[in-house]
Amino acid sequence: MTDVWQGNSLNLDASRVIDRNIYVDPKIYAAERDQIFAHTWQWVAHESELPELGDYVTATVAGRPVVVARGDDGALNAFFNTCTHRGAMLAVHPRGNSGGSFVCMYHAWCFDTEGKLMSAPMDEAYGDRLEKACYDIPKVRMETFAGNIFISLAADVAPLETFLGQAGPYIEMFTGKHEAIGRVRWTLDGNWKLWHENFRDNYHPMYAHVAIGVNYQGVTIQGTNHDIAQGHSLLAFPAQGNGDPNRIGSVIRKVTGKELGAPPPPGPTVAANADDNRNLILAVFPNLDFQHSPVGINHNLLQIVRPLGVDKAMVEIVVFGEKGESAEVRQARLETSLDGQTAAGKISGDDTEAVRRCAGGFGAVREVRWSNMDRGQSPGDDGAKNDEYSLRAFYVAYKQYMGQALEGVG
Amino acid sequence: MAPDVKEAASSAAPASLSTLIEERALTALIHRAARLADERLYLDWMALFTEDGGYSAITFENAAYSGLYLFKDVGRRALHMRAAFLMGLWQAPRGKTLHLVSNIEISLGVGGESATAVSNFLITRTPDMEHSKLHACGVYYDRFQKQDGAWLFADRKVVVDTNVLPPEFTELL
Repeated sequence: MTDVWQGNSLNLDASRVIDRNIYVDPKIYAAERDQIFAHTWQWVAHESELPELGDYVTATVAGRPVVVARGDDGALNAFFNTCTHRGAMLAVHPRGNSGGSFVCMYHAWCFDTEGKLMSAPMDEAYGDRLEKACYDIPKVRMETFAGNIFISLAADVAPLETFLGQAGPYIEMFTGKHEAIGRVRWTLDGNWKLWHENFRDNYHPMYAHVAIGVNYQGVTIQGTNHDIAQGHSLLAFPAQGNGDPNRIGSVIRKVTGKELGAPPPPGPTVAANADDNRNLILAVFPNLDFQHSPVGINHNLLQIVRPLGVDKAMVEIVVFGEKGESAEVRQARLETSLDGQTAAGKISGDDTEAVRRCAGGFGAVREVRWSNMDRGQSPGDDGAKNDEYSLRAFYVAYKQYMGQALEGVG
Repeated sequence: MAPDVKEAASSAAPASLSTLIEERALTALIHRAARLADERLYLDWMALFTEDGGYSAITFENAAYSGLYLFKDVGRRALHMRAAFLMGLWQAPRGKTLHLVSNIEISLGVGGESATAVSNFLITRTPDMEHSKLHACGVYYDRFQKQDGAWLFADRKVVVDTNVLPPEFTELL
């Protein structure tokens, strides 16, 4: 079957281009909600964020409001966040404690932490026709992996561990012995895929991020870029620099006209994983990313991007700490983990801007329709750090999920 | 019943002149930091901090729950790095900001060489070719130290009211 992106004006194989219409077309976005977000496992929370009985988190997946709650028996339950009486959402905060039941603010119908209807006020007015079992809130399929809580709106999605495939062992390494120590959210002025692509793209850092570019000047870049199947991918690279501690100082001096002072004494350190001491960026189809850095205190971060529309998205970043780590390390983690991250970060501030500029540039989609995704010419699934095997892995899966929805676009 | 303003005023202990002078100086410092941020005079802003001074920001949610900072700059070198990012290392563009600071409550320390303040802030931002928008609001928690007769920030912790940051959030808060 001919690939829908064959015949592009860049004269490249269809697997090596992107049709920019997928970032701006509302029909494509609607299809993504139904065919991707409603048919994949979606990360919602880490179990450590719901430690107490009655704790809950909320999320919206493919437009559906969902609540995950820890019940009296300690078990986690996921159900739709809607009262079966008239529809009001039962929980409106990102996280909280229900006190053991969810009482609708509208008519005080009360549900337990599994979503079962417990009581409705003044129910004698219904005579004998209020069959409570008919008003239990439908459960949402939920599984956990390495402490991460995922939900799936579809019954036909493979079990979570199968869905994660080769990504699984890495996720175990990043979050299996850890606890979440905080979240930050920010919005993007652009399509959700632009953010997820940014994680799979290691061509940009030395150009988009001036401080990183300085560090890489004169360095032969090491590292690898892997398609690990099922739409997932992995970037792996050693900590690199040009070995000149004065280089960043010279850039600062050039920008500010002042000498940068001496660096402070080093903070606490945590031993890197003996089995794998590389920087790792794991992208899980379609919208989940993990970052692991063995430098310093061994950082582990998770980011999930959720669409808010075809041209708007929200990113959530979750920081992990190791269970039982020292107070000194935990405090250092709380103070330093996000310095480069979020819309306020020294790195992600630029990535967020790159998304905004791409979204603006897509205004010319009719005249400039195709984006290049051709870096790395070796056959197979693996290439150099700044090749694009990882990006292409995403779009192989994307096309499989989207199917005919991509036909006739543009 | 409405309070008896006249009675309340007459029963309040008169503040000493020196206290008023110090509070006025600290208020001026807070206003000066806002002005320098808006005028993008980042090195001058940096000079309002002690050599080991700190500047940090945290969301309202994380201030209450976990203590996870957006960033925490400690010491002149870290502030210098931030100034450099604001002056060009960030490719994210600067917008025109306007800082408004109010509800300032100052507590002078014993000995007159230190003080703390809590104040509310509101920042608007005006990008090129767009209307002005509310950028951020929240609370400043400041610690001050007097050095060579002048007040400086020993620490400024910014708690932003939002739990969802806007896309462009690299401005000085």
